[in-house]
Amino acid sequence: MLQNAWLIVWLPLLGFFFHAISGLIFKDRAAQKRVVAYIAPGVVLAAFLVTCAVLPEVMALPAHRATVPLIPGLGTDAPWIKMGGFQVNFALLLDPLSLLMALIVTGVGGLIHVYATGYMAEDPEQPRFFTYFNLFIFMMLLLVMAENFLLMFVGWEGVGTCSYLLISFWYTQVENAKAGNKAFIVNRVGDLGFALGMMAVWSVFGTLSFFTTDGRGVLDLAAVEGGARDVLGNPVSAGTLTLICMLLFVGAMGKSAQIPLWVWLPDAMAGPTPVSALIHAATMVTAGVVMVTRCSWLFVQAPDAMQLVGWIGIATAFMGATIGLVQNDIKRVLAFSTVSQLGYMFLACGVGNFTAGMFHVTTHAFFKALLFLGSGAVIHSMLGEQDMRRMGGLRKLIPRTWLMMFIGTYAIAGFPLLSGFWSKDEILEAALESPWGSGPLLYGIGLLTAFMTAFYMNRLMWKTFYTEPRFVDGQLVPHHHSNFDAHDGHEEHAHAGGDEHGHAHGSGKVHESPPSMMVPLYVLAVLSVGFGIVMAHFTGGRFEHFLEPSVAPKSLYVSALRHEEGHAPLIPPVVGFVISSVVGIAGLSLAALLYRQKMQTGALLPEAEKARNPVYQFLYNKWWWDALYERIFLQTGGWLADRVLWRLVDAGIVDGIVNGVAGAVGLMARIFRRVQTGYVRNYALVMLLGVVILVGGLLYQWSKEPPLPVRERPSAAGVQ
Amino acid sequence: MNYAANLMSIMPVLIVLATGMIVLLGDACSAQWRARRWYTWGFSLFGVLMALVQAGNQLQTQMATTFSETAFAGSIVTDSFTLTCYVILLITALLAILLAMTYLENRNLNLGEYYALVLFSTAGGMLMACSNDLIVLFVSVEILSVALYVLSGFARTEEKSEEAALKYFLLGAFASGFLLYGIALVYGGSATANHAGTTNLADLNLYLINDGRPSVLLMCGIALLFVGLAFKAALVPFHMWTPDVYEGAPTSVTAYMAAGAKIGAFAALMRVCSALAPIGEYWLPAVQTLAVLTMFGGNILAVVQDNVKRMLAYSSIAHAGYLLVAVSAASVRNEQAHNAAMGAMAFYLMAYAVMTMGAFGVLIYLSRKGRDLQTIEDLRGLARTDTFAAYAMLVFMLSLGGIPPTMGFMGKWFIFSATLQAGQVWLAIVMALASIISIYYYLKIVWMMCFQEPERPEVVEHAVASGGVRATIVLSLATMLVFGILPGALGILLNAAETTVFRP
Repeated sequence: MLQNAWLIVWLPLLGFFFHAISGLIFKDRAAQKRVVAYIAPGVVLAAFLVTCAVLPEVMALPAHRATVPLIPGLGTDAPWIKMGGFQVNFALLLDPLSLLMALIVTGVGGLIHVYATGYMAEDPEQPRFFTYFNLFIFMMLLLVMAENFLLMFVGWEGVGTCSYLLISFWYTQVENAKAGNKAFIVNRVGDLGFALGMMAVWSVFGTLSFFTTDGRGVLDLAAVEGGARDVLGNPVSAGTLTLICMLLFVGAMGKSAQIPLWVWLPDAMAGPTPVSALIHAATMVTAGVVMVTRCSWLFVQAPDAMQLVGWIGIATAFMGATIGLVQNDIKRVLAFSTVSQLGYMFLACGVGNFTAGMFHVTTHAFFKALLFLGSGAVIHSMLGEQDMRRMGGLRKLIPRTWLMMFIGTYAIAGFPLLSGFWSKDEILEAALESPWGSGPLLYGIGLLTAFMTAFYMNRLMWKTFYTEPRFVDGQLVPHHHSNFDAHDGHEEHAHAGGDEHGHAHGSGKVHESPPSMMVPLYVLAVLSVGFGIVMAHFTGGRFEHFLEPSVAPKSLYVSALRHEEGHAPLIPPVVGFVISSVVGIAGLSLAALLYRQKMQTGALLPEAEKARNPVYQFLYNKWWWDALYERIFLQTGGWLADRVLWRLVDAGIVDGIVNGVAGAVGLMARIFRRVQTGYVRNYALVMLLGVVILVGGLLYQWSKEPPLPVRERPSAAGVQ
Repeated sequence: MNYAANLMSIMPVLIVLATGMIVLLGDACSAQWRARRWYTWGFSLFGVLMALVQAGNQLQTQMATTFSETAFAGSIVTDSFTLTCYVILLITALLAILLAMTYLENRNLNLGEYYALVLFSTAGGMLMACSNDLIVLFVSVEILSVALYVLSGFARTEEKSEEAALKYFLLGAFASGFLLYGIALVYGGSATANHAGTTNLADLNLYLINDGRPSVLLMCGIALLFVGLAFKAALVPFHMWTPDVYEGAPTSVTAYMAAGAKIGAFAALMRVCSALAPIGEYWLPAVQTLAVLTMFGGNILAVVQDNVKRMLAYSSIAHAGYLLVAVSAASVRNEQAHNAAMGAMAFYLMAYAVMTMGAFGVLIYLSRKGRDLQTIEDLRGLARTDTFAAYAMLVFMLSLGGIPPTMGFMGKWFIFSATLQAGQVWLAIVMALASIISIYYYLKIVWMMCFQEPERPEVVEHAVASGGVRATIVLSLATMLVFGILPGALGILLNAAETTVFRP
């Protein structure tokens, strides 16, 4: 099976090709949609099965690592690009990290595909949707399973493209198209960082492969005893490593929506909900964490870069949580919670506990996919309504969807013994033991963030499910309406251009979603409940051991920091356990207590109060990040582009030079073409002129050059 | 080496020659016009394919054993470079034959000799690539040329075609005189008190390594050798015939001539220059001057052309300049740069041949019954009326202009990199500047096709759109894009210099 691992990436790719040409195969749209709805989840789930079959074989290998060809039939060193000393291979790296991510991408991705067959059933463009969706799975698998940086970069750019295509899937609404552009453009900034980092890696290590059999891969060289060695065997300075890691981390910032490149993610919710669940929650946005973990050997030797990662992570976690407190769009709350949880993952990486980060990636994939799909089911039930202020009382109407959301909320809030609790607790503990200091501070902010997470998630539950309904049969209760128009134009648009498309059918009643949408929810709910306790507790840290071959050993990190090993933890694990539990439960309870008193309106503050309250406005407007970027980049940049670069530089200087040169070339051409008379005698004359010049030139050179030194006569072996 | 082994080493050439003769005889013997037309076309294709398989096999053995052999008393050499050139030439011939049939029928020119002449000139080009002796080189140049003279006058009833043939023949004879005179001077100039002169390139190479300063006679000989080959390769100022002949000859001939003759000429030039590399200081400045003149001359004059065939003629001159840059880079005494430059030239020849055939293929595809497509204006709004042709042409133009992800880009990249390795930085810069000019006229065609409204918006039915022409275009297109993205897959071309005989 190991040699057939290429199937994992090829299956979704073939699915993509099939959907892309399905329009040519089927004359009947309905038949096309029916077949696509089977093929699309089918290939992804098949890839999942192949991954499951490959996993034990890789784990049975002594190094827990295998390189397999990407293109069947070719060897693992089949070059994609080979130029001089630069070689990039078409190969996949199979190790615990890549297989874990492959399992998440194909497993959770497969469930979301199944869900999407129900969710997108009514959309006339459903085949186009699954074309992009399968392409995304292929690109994501390429990203996580690549054997080298460049192939990873292909996947990295590919998922960015798919993300763009899917955010603006309903492209006729200009808001969606703008959101897609925003995501793409912001990601470009990060991608530039990644590309520069990759170039720096190549210039230092002379290769882009992560691991090679002869131990010359980037990470092989980085893992050498006593510090990283470059391609010539000289030690690499800490400054160089820091630069490489910081550049790579800029890439991660873009893809994983960290400060300051996080602004695109909330807007990305303009896409269909399965897209938000798959790309903007469970898989693509965690690519940055995966990349940092993959490069852990480099990062652990660059303490400054680690510190940056940690601080950016905790700051993003905190900021995301505060903004999440006041959002009204159900998907936006989840988007900010994603930003916040991604911050946690980077915090874990920053303090050197990469396995905890990946553990959170995994559990987060389960419960965040569950929450997104659940919110999708809510939106589906509400005929496209996304604003929580127009919801309420849904618990009675859609009890099964409620139960799913309930499980997801408690899992992310860190309710004891659910999945999110274990992974978050591990991260908080690691933060407290931060090897570069500031442990208690990180721990404190982390706890505060956890508290806010629990609060805003239960707020979402209360606004949506428990408080009095603020609609009648899918219609708004009229007297609430006047409150919303004041400062909510944006979400009006998002909602108008949003999921309504998919639900042209209209019984007008709130209803439970079809089984194709509910079954994936049940599976994800089971994982959200049980995965953490099984992996972290019952099997005694199984997860950590599983990932060990893929991340840098702690010893390497500590030696780079010249840190004393073996001191006692600041607080015993049991105490940390209790603190985490208490914080999570407190957050949940506070929300319940406060909203219990506002059953009628489902809002803590009246609308008029909100407009006046500066703190509320600060949070509601996302700390003014968008306004800041608008001022700095759009307005200043626009001025620079218009007045300086276009009118002065381009129109004046560049066009002047270009037109001048072009004019000169044209003039010369008009002169020279006169020689082309069409008479053979003239042609012969020109040739003769050439002969004279050539002979004269050679003889002149001959008279000028000193005689060459006589060289030793070579053996004639090479000749005859 | 026995006689059979000698013949074995030039097997691909023999297959091509034999095919040519059988086609010629068969054509004369069969009275049925309809049967003849398929027989000549089909058998020529088959023969070229056979030769291609044979050359490929030999190349594979060659790469495995890294053993280059000489045959016929050292006058023929079969090394990796020879075989690589065989493969490129045979692919060119294959495309040329594929292109020809319906085009010729539409112009009432479908005679069996056509294919035989293409095959003979291909054999001539192949012999140029394998000749290790100046006499063999001369004979093979003539085999190539005589067939081409006839081919350019193949449209016997058309004045322009006749004029082209006569011009080509007269000037070609003039150039052959210089070539032969040059060979004689080299023979005389390489004679010393101890031994007679030589026309064998390997011997000449050894002689030059040992004797520091060449004689005046030898220098004159070298200069005249260059004149002869420069004419074949259409280097400025020996290029004057090119636009007239390319314009006048039937388009299918032009396509073959632009690609095939150039491959042969550059293979020979590369051989001669490699042999002369030990005294590179004496003649390299002259070759570099020719390269600069050719690049700028070709590109600048292409800018003002209105006729597509003439424009492509000047563009082919410019490409000859780029190839000459590779020759110059291969002529330094640095083994690594020499090998890189040889590989780059092989890659570029392949790219050039395929993209030129493709571009002329589109012209043939677009020509109507009895009338060739003439001016750039005729392409106006093509993207609307014939999407396939327009997009194929777009790719060929981008590739000729050296824009990624096409093979033309990779080819230029390899030449740049080899030139830098050879330490001729200024030449690389000049080449970059010259190719900027070329973007103008390539994009002019793109602009005319894609950004202009067609005169008559309806879709035009082209008379010539046959399977063979389409196949040529699609094959070229696929080659352009696949190897533009995966140049490594053509690694064998880049290793063309692996087992060559000369010491630079």
